[in-house]
Amino acid sequence: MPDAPLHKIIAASIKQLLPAHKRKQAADEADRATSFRARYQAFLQLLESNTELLGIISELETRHAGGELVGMAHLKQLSTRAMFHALRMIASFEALCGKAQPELRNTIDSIRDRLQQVLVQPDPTADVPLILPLDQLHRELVDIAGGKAANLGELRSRLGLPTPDGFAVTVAGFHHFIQENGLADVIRLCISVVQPGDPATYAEASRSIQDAILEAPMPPALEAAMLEAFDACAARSGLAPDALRLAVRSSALGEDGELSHAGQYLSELHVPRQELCPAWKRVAASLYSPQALGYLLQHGLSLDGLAMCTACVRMVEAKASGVMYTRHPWGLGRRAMYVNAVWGLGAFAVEGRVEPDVYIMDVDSGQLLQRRIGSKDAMLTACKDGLTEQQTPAAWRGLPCLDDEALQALRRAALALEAHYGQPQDVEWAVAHSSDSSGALYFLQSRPLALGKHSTADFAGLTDEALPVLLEGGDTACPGLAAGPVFLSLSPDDADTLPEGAVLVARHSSPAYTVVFPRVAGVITEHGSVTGHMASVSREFGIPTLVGVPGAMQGLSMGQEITLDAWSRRIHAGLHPAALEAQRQARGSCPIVPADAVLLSPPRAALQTLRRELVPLTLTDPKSPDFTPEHCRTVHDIMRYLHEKSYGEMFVISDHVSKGKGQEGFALRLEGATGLDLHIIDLGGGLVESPHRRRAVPVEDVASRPFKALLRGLILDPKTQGPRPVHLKGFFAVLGEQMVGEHHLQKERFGDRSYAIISDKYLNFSSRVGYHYGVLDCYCGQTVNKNYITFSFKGGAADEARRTRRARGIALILERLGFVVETVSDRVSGRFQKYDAAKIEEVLAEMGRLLQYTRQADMLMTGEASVQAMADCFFTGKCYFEPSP
Amino acid sequence: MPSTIRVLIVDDEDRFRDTLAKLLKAKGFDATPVGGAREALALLEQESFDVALLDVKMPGMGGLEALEAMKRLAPSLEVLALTGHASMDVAAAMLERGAANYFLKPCPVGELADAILQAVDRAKVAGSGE
Repeated sequence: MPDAPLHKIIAASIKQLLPAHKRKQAADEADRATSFRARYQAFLQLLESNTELLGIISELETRHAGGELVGMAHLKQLSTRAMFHALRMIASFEALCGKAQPELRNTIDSIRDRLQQVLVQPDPTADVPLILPLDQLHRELVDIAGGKAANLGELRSRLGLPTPDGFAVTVAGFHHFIQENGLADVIRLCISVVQPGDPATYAEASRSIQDAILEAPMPPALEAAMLEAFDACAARSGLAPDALRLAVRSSALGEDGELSHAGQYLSELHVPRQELCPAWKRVAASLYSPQALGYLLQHGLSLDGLAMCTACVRMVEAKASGVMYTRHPWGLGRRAMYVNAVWGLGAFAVEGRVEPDVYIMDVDSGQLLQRRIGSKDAMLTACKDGLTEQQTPAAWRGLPCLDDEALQALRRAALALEAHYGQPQDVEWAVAHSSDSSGALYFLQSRPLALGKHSTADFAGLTDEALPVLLEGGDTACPGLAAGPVFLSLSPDDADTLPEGAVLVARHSSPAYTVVFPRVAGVITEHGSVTGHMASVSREFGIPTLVGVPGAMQGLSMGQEITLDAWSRRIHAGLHPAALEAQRQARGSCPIVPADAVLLSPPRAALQTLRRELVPLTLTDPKSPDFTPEHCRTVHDIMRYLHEKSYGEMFVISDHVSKGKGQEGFALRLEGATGLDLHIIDLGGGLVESPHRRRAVPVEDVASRPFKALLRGLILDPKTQGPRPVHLKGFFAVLGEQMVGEHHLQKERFGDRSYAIISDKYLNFSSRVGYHYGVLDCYCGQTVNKNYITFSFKGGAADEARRTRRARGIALILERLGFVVETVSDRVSGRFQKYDAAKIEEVLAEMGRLLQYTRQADMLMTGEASVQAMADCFFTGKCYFEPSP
Repeated sequence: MPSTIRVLIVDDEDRFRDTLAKLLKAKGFDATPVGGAREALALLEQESFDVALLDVKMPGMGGLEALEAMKRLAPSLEVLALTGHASMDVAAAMLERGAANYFLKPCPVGELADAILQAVDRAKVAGSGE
C-alpha cells in the first residue's frame, strides 16, 4: 500500500503541473474531494456498524423466539459488541456532520450502566469442588455433575436402588482442565468453521479440538484429586487400588435432560488407576465428537456452557445387562415396560451390535406380554487385561438372560422410578456375576425416556395394498411413514454423500448416523435395537425407523424408490402418496422446545434485559417532531435516528459541494425514464469519466455494476409497457384513509427524491415514492462471499390491511427470487447473499422491475387472494400489478 | 486481480494465534502471526500490512497502548480488535483509539474474513482520488 493516499498524491501533482490561477481552483476541488471522501468513509463506517447491530438484534430476537439456550458469556459478548458499534455509529455520524452528539452519548452511557448491572454476576461454579463422591450427589446438582452422575446419585441416595460406588468429576474439574491449558478459544475457533449440514466440516473441527484436548497435560490439582477419589473408592470396596476397575462415563451438561444426546459421547470401561486420567481426557474430548457437534447444531443449541462432567463408577462384573424403558416408547394402549437384555456387558445392547432378548411386561399386573429370545451371538466381557469380545457359548444363545424373578425386580424398580421422577424413564441395568458381591441387580443410569412424537397408540400405517411389499419384519424404533430413494450405507463414513430425503439402509444401527438425520426421510437397519442410541435419536427427530430387518441390504438397491411403513414393519416398492404427505407435514412441525426451566434461567432474564435495551424501536416517523436524539430510548432508536440522518447528511454534503466554486456537484440527476426524481452520488468508479462538468447524466454513463443492473429493470419502456392503469376503487380507498383521522405517514408526499449512492461495485438505492419507503443495498464484486443484496420496504398510503398484504406479496416475490425474508406488519425485509456477480446482476434487474411493480400496488390489495395474485402476476413479467377482474 | 491481503495477527496465546493464521491462510489471506505488541511494532517498521487483528489483554504492552503506537506508525492500517475480553468499557476505549471493529473470541472465521475484506475495501474507496 502507498504511504500517502492516492488523492493527496494527485492533488500534489496537479499543483505542480497547472498555472497559478488554475492551481488554486484545482486545490479547492482536491480539498473538497478529500473532505467528501473522509465523510464518505464515516458514512460507510456508520452503515457497517448499523449492519452489525441489525445482526445482533436479529440474533437476540431469534434466540428469544426459538427459546434457544443462551449462556451469560455469550450475552456479555453481544452487549460488548453492541456497545462498540453503537458508539462507532455515533462517532461516525459526528465525523459526518461535524457536530458532537452529547444526548446520544448520554443515552448510550445509561444503557451501558443498566446492562452492566445484569451482566456482571458471580460465576455459579466458582466454589464447586473438582470431584464429588456419588453419595453426595442428587438430581438438583445436575448443573454441577451433569445428568448421568446427578441421577445416579439420586438413585443411590434418595431411591435406595443398588448402584455401583464411585465419584463424579464436576463441571469445575472440566473447566479447570480447559482453563489451565488455554483451550477455550481454540475450541471456539475450530467450531466457527463448522457449516451446519456439512458433516465433513464437523469431522474437521472435531479432529482439531479432540487433538488439542488429548495433547494437553492434566493439571496437577485435578490429577491428584481424581487419584485420591479412586483410592478412596478402592478402600470402601475393600480392594487394593490396583485391583479396582472403573467405568468412566460421560455426564455432559444437558445430557440426559430434555434432549437425550443419546450415544453422542464416549464411555470408557474397565479403567485401571494408571489409565484414569487418560480415559477421562478421552471422554472429555468426546464432548466434541462429530456426531455431538452435529447434534448440537441441528438442535440450534448454544455451545456456551457446554461442559463434560464424568461419572467414574466401579465396574459391575456383569453376567447380563441391558436397557429398560419403563414405558413402551410409543404406547400399546396399556402401561407396558420394554426390556432388552444381552449376555455380558451392556454396550452391545445399546450399540445395536447383537440381537438382544426382548421382554414386554404389563407394569401394573406383572404379566409378561411378550418374550423374544435374541440370537445374542457375541458378548462383551471384562477380563484381567481389559474388555474382550467373544462368541457367546452356543448353549447360552437360546437361553433367556432374565428369569421371572429378575424381571419382577425390574418391574418394581420401574414403578418406583416413574413414581419418583413423574415421567417414564430410560434405564440401564446389569446383573452381576454371583462372584461379584451379592449377584444382584444394579442400576447404571436413569434418564427421561424420549417418547417421540407418537406417544399414544394412534396407528397411522398404510391401510391400502396399493404398493407391493418388498420386505417385512424387524422392530419399530420409531413409527411413521417415509418415502424416498434407498441409500445403502456400508458404514457411517459413507453417509456424507447421502442425498436429501433418502431412506438410509444400513447393516448396523449406529449413533454416528445421527449426523445425517436432518437429511434422512427414514431409516432401516439389518441389526440394531429399539433401545439403542440411534433409535432414541430417531424418536427425538421423529424419523420413521425400523431396526433388525433381515436381508435389507441385499433386498434393496441403491436409488430404488421405496415406502417405509414403520407402523406395520413393511417396506413397499414405490412412493406412496400418504407417506409423502406425512413427510411434508413432519417438515413443517415444530422442533423440540426446551423445558420451561430453561426459559426462566438467569441468562434468560439477562436476555430479556438486553432485548429491552437494544431491540424496541420507538422512533419510527422521521417527519415527527419527536424524531430527535432526546427521544432515542434504545440502541435501535439510535441506529434508526443516525441511519436516517446520515442519508440526510450525505445529501447535504452533495448540495454543499455542488454549490461550491467549482460547480462540480456530487449529486447528479439521472436522465432516464424511471418515473423517479433520481439523483446519483458517485463515490468513485460509479460513472464513466467525463471531460465536461455536468448536472445530469444519461443512463449510458453509469459504470457502476450493480446500478447498471438495477436500471435494466427500473427503466420503463413506454413501447412495451404502456401507461399504468388507474384503479379508481383503490385510489378512492386511499383518499378515504387519509381523510379519516390520523394517518401514519400524513406528512409524506408523492414524488420525493430518490438517491443512488454508487461506486464501481456498490449501490445504495433509496426510494421514497408515494407513501412507501424502499431501500436496496448491494455489493456486487468478484468475492462471492461478500456479494449481497438487502432490501427493505415499508409503508404505503392504503389502510393497514392492504399495506400488510402488499408486504406479504412482496415477501412471496422475494422468496421466489431466492431471498431470505422477514415480514413484520407492513414492513418486509430480505437478504440475498453469496452469489456470483452475474447472479446478483440478474436479481438486481428483477428488483428494479419490482420497485416499479410495487408502486401503488397497496391500493389493489383488496383481499387475501390478492397476495398470491400479486406474486404470480410479477412472474408473468408484467411491470405493474393487474389483478384479474 | 487484487494482490493478496496482508493480515497481521497480534496475540500472546500461541495455540490460538497459530490456528487462526492457519484458518485465514486457508481462506486466501497472507496471515502473519506475532506473539506480542513489541514484535508487531518492530515488524510494522519494516513491512506494510492491510489489516491487523489485535488482542487486548497481553503481557507487557496491552492492546490499548499497542493500538495507539500502531496507528502512529501506520495510519492507514485497519485494526480490528479480537479479544476474549467482553468489556463494554474496553470496547469504548479501543474505538476511541481507532479500532474499526471489536470481535470477541471465538469469532467465526468467516465473520473475521468478511470484516477484513470490508475494511480493505473501505480503505480503498476512501483512499482513491478523482
